[in-house]
Amino acid sequence: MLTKEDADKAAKITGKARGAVFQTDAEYIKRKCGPDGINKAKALLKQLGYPIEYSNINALDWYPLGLRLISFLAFKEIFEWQEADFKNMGNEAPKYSFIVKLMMKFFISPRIAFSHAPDYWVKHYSVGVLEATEFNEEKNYAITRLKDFNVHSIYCRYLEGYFQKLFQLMLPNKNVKIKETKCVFSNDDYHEFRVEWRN
Amino acid sequence: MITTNFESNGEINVNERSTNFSAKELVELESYITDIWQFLPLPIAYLTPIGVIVDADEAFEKFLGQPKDKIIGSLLTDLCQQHGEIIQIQKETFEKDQVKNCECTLTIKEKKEIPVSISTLVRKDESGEAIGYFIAFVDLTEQKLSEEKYRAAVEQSVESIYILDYETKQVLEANTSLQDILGYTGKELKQLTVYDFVAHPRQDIDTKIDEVIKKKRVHLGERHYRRKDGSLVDVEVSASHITYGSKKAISVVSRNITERKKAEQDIKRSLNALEETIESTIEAMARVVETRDPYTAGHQRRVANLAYAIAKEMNLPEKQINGIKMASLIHDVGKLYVPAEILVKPTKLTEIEFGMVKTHPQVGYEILKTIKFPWPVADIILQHHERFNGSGYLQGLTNKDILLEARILAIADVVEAMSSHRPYRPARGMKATLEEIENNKGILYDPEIANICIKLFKEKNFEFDLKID
Repeated sequence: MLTKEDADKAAKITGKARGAVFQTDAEYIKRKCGPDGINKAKALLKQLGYPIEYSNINALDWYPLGLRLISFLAFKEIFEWQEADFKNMGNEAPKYSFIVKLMMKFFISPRIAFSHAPDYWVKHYSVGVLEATEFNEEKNYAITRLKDFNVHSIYCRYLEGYFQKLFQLMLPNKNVKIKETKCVFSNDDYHEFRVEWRN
Repeated sequence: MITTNFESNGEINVNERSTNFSAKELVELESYITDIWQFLPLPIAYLTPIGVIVDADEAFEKFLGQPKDKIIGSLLTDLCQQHGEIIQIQKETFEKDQVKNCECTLTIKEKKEIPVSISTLVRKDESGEAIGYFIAFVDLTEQKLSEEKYRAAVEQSVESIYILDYETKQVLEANTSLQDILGYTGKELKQLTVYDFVAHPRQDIDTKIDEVIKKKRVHLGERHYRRKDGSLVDVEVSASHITYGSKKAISVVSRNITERKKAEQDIKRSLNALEETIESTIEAMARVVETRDPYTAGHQRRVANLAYAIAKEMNLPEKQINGIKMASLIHDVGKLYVPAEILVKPTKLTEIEFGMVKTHPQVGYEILKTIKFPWPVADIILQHHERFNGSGYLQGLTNKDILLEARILAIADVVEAMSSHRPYRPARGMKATLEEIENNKGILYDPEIANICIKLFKEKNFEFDLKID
């Protein structure tokens, strides 16, 4: 059960996230669980002392990253989500992200988009460094690394879904798969994601 | 050019300068853009260069009949069946930066066929590279239905309807009725210009067309068309200035009036025959009157001759002239009821006898009032002894209260009578007769008519003749 102490602990995480990511969360919850779902989430967050009024969130404003984690934990509690559910939420997010729309100019090709991954990251988060490590067009895979980003393992699942969708937008006719091959919560130094695509 | 490399503090770098937009301003910008997307009434989507939909408005969702989360991230070609058309439009978009009003039919959700007009607009980055494009759809279903209805109405119309290109004068469209009238097929008609079948001088045709352009709608009246076999057909034409696609055009509606014209001519012939019958009847009546009074034999005809000449000189309408002629021919029909002895009495009439003669206008009126002449014959006869100053009989009418026809007849009657022999007096001669008219114009006789009568004799050498034109 999510306690106030858990929330307070999560709130201490440093860094900020753009309002756009909160907005996509709300959009997903509404579609998946209805207005009642988002109201339940808001009620729990308020109870924990970390209220979020999603309708007042602005896409380009900064908000505490810890608040984002608290909201994830609240979703997990209320909807009994597993890790796969967070991956699904991440997968849906790019469809509704205002920042993604602003960044569309990079989506001309997967290679170009991949090369702008670090740029893309800093638009969303004030902590962490995303690297465009390797892009292999011949063998149809790409590797990206996220450093200095220690939030929570459910956040890793969210990012998996998110990165997968971004690649899918660029490769609509391909079957895109993603796997976190390194994780700081598995005692690795950084997160590493390998994306593969097939016909 | 504003780039989207905004830093984490919300600054936007413009070239080498840094323009500080506050976070609030950026938020307002976001709100503005979001509101626009929500407001758009047309189905519009934004796609990546390879055709993946990354944003769409609510109208687009409704148009495709799919929720947004199914649309975003999909290829447009996956959402409808017309892959070839969509890919072609995409190709043209990137070649020309935009496509405007490209019409095609989309099959959506495997069933629904929708006629649409598609427009696109490419977005480019600061280096001019295409980074995506907008696509907008206009559902033409209602428009096509209306067009079909109107097309059916036009195609099945009894009237001939065709459209001309104003610049080239070429036939753009023509319905079946025009094909039937002219004897051309639809295909042949579209190869013709208006000069090929409108049987009027070219300049006249151009003038009429320009009139239509200027006035928007013109009833051109009766015109002639030339059929394929060279024969002519009478038509009644109206035309209006329209826009045909992007062209300035003329829409022409014609009605074949050949049958109507033929019927009109038949009626005219019948009327002419009827008039001749009436004239013959009137002449017969005149002869009946004259057989009783040999002194007035030919009088009515000579009076009619003069009255006709006066009416022609006054440029009266032809119908009125004919009325004067007919009334004059039988103006003394009332004398049928005056004893012949009184009519031919060689001495002055007594008061009683003159009173009987004075009844002849009334008697003539009574005889003729029930006959539906096309002219006021009965009234003319009733008034032909009225005088300008009211001293005439029977009603004592004055001036313009007397029918014009009666005023003309009065003078003609007096002139003929005075210049002819009577059983009770000799002819006074034309000089004395004209002096009588001159002296009493404005008193007994209408002055204008009197002057014309005098002029006919003095300047135009009028002579009495039994034959009337």
